[in-house]
Parts: sequence; C-alpha cells; structure tokens
Amino acid sequence: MSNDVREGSKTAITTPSDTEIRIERTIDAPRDLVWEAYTDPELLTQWLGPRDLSMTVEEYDIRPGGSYRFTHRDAEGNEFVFFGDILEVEEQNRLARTFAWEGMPGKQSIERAEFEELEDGRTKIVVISSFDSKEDRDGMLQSGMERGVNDSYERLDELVAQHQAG
Amino acid sequence: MVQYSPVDRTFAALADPTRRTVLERLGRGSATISELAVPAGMSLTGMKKHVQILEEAGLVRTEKHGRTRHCYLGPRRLEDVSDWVDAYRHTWDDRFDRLEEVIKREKGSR
Repeated sequence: MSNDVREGSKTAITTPSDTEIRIERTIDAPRDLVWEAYTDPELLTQWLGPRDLSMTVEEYDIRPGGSYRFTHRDAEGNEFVFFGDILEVEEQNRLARTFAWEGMPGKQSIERAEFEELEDGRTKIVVISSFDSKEDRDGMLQSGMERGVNDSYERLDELVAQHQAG
Repeated sequence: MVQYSPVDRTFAALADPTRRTVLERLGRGSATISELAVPAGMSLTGMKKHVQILEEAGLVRTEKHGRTRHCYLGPRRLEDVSDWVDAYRHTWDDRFDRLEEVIKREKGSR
C-alpha cells in the first residue's frame, strides 16, 4: 500500500505493522556530518522544525538516560512542546529515544534511528517509530497530513488545477 | 446537477486556504466554530460553511454539545491511510532536504 516511491520523493515511508512507521532516506553527506546535524542542538533547529515555525531547544542531552525538550512556535505565539528520554546512543550508528507531545498527555512513541555509511560516501537513515496502538500510529500519520498540507500549498494547488483541467 | 466524486470533494475541500488552516488547527486538537472563526477573521456563518464542506469530504466531523458545535478531524483518516502516508512522506522529504542543506552549509564554512 505505502511501499511505492513517488516521483521526486527521496523518502520511503512504510508501515511494517499496525503500530509502526518506518522512514528511510539516503542523505548526500558522510555519516559523521549527518550524526552531527542530528545531535548538535544548534544544527537541529535548522532542519527539524517546519519552515513556518520557529524552534528552540530547551534541553538536548544525547546520552543514555539523558532527556530532550524542544518547542515550536507559530506566528500567533502558539507553542508545541516535544520531549522525551534518550534510550540508547551508539555514536554515529544508532539513536533511540522516546517521543512525546505535550498536546497529547500520556501518549508516547519510541523512535529508533540507524545511520549507515554507504560505499559512495552517502548515509542511509532508517527511523522506526513504534506506537502503543494503531490509533496512536494513525494519529501521527495524520499530523503529517496537516503539516504536509501546509508545507505543500503549491503542490496541492497544482494537483487541484490538474484535476480540474482533467 | 453535477455529481461530485469523493476525490473531487476532497480536492475541492483542500483547495481553499481557510479550510487548510482549519485542518491544521484541528490537527492540534478540537475546536468550536467560533474558535475557528475568530483567528480567521470570519463570521460564524462563514466558518460554518467551510466546516460543512470539510465535513462532506470526510475531513472533519462535528458534534453538538449544548449550543456549541465542536469540530474534530474526520473519519477519512481511518479509511485512507495512504493519503496520510503521502503527506507524512512529504513532510519528511522536506525535513531531510533541509538536513542536507544544513550539512552543505556547515561543510562550506569550515
């Protein structure tokens, strides 16, 4: 169902089970730099947050037992706080953490990211998010829809235009 | 009378920026019609029409509690996960593109 790779899309999203989301993407950069962009809070803010939201990192203690907390703010001043605990760190190889949003108290997922350096010097990232239930998993996919809808106005407008023309 | 397919309805519902903002807002939690209307600078009647279009497309569902109508994201998510997956993929595509950009900039500045 979701294993197809769309044209122009470099990220593969699959649902290996009812409670998981798997994300795979190959980044055109060596692994040590990808790891740095993942673990340096200064760099993290430059890519993780949605384009139209500002992001601040309150805590980012990347070691087992450490925790993290960051906030996205929109133009109206609404805040979205995400937080979790670091479960496992294997330098440049593996990062596992819990992931929760203040807007959904009591709900959390576990995110396991693996980084593999390819022979051509690029880096393959695989992230598997595990949820407590299918409903929670679908809720996360749906939040992507909201975000995607907003990040892709132009693309959507094109689709609508095509659809109307057809 | 023109017959609209579910796909037509979805595209029509998403074609309007106000309605996309409504979906984004509801993605953060339920809201009443007036909570949606005020930030959009719209009348209650105007917002009701937008919500109705979203509801017909299955993107939003509403429940009446006393005198207020509460809006939630709709049931369509359960029937059509591939759409959510598509949008989710787009989000991550965008995010990882930026990750690449950040690394290129960092490398350049060393």
